[in-house]
Amino acid sequence: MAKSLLVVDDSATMRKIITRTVRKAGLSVDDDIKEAGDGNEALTRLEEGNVDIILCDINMPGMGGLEFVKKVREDPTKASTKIIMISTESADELIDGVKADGADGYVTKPFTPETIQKELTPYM
Amino acid sequence: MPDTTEEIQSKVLDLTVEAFSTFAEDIETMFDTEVTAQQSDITEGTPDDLKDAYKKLAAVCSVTAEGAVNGEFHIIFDKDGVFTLPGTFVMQPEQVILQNRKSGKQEEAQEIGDALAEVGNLLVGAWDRIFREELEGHKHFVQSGTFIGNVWANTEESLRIKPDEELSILSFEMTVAPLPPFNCSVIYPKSVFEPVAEAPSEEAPPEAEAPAEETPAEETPAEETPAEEAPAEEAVPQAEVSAEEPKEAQDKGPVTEAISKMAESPAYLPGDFSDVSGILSGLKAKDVMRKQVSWATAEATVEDLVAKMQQDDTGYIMIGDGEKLQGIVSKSDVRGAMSPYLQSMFAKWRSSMDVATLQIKSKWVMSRPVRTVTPEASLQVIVQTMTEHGGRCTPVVDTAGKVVGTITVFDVFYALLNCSTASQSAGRAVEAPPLA
Ligand SMILES: [Mg+2]
Repeated sequence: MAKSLLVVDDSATMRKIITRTVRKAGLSVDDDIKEAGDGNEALTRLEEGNVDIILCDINMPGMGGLEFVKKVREDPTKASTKIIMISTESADELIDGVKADGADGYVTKPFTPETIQKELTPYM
Repeated sequence: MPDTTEEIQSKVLDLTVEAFSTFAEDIETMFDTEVTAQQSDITEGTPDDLKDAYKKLAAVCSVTAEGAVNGEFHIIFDKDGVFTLPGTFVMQPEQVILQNRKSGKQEEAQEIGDALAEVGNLLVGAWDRIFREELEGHKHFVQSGTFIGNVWANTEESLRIKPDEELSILSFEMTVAPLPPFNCSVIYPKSVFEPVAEAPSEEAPPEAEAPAEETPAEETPAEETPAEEAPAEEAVPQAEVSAEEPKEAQDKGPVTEAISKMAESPAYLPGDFSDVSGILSGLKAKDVMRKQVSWATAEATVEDLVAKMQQDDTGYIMIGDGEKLQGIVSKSDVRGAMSPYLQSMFAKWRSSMDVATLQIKSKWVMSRPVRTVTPEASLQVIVQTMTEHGGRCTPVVDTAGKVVGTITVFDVFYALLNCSTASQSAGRAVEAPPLA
């Protein structure tokens, strides 16, 4: 069954790039990919309806990605929602930290359709 | 680690060439197009020397570096670059990009401003990888600004550089196939190459204040309600709070001095304020206290306290069972316990250790014992209590030992302002000071 996706990034340009790349990766995802500009908006999107996989930026004004991951993981009803971080940040401490907080995967920019495919396939 | 200005400068200029080609490769990877970056020039000069290459419309990405390179530097793109890179990011057709390069104005450039910021983001990411691998002592780069427009109208705003600043300028010719090349330059103020003293690893981030004189704060022994002493080993994390205390001390200075003089001798007040002495002795704790008291348990975490403070819009939380007081936690206690890297501006450098500070328990950060007053205590007594012992929030406790309210210095101010204005019938509007 097609998975439902939520793309969280403060940059509309980056949300478009991510959405486009996911489509290019040829994964079975819903036609309607949801979007949010920061963690708070993303929490609202999550309340509105079913989301299987979240692709989430780290540096965003308002609620950033690290805080967002923790917020989602506090909610037991969202335990099955997968969270993949996407960022230019490449420091190991940061990646390990956010994974410890409950992120399921981490993609460092630049990414390709292949990178995205590899990261998302286990959850399809 | 390079340790002279010359060594740092030469290493950084080398790495810049490498970082630029990594940036080009990153764009290639993401946008599946051929991108090259060729070094075209290296010079020393002032902002004026950039005028020939960069006419009116240009874009500047500013980057703040910490570590071996220290300070802000900038990457400037000419008009062709302004339209080419973001245009590529948003997949504009080649014809549109070419048209914009020819006749695009500020307006068209602003439209792709979001994409330009993303160009900057990718650029900083590429540079950070290279510098982290190859420059010992490098800590991090953070994207600190994006400017699009007429650079020369005000270079201190656009380039964030003084007109006579000495610069190292490294220029590149970039090509995003099949479009014609464009120019960009990396502008390093020479000051960023100056060696900085090696800081200890536990160093506080730039804006943490340096420790000032010791302050008794809220830790002095209580007279009226001695609270239970916590076991000694649990007091250890208190040390983390000390970073914030000097601020408290600075804040406290002028406030308590004025109140203190008023309390000692109302005659101290200049002008026709003789009624204030009456207010101080006439008003009681029960008249000015807030009855809404926020509580948390000694096991509550800093994260819980932050949420509670936001939810209840308060700066102070009583620690205990809802009646009997074990301690008090102020907003600055909480801030002192939390890693400063949890502030959104430091998000980039946050690690799991920083996040772990949210799990520190109230009992480790609370002030105790707590100095309290009875509901019948006069304002004068309250002011004296606060002044002598430094606390800015005093719980009001009844004879059974139950907390019935709290009074902050702002409540005292508010009571003074309210009463004195009312009695003067001057008809001035009194605005309440912000609460804690
Ligand atoms: Mg972002």
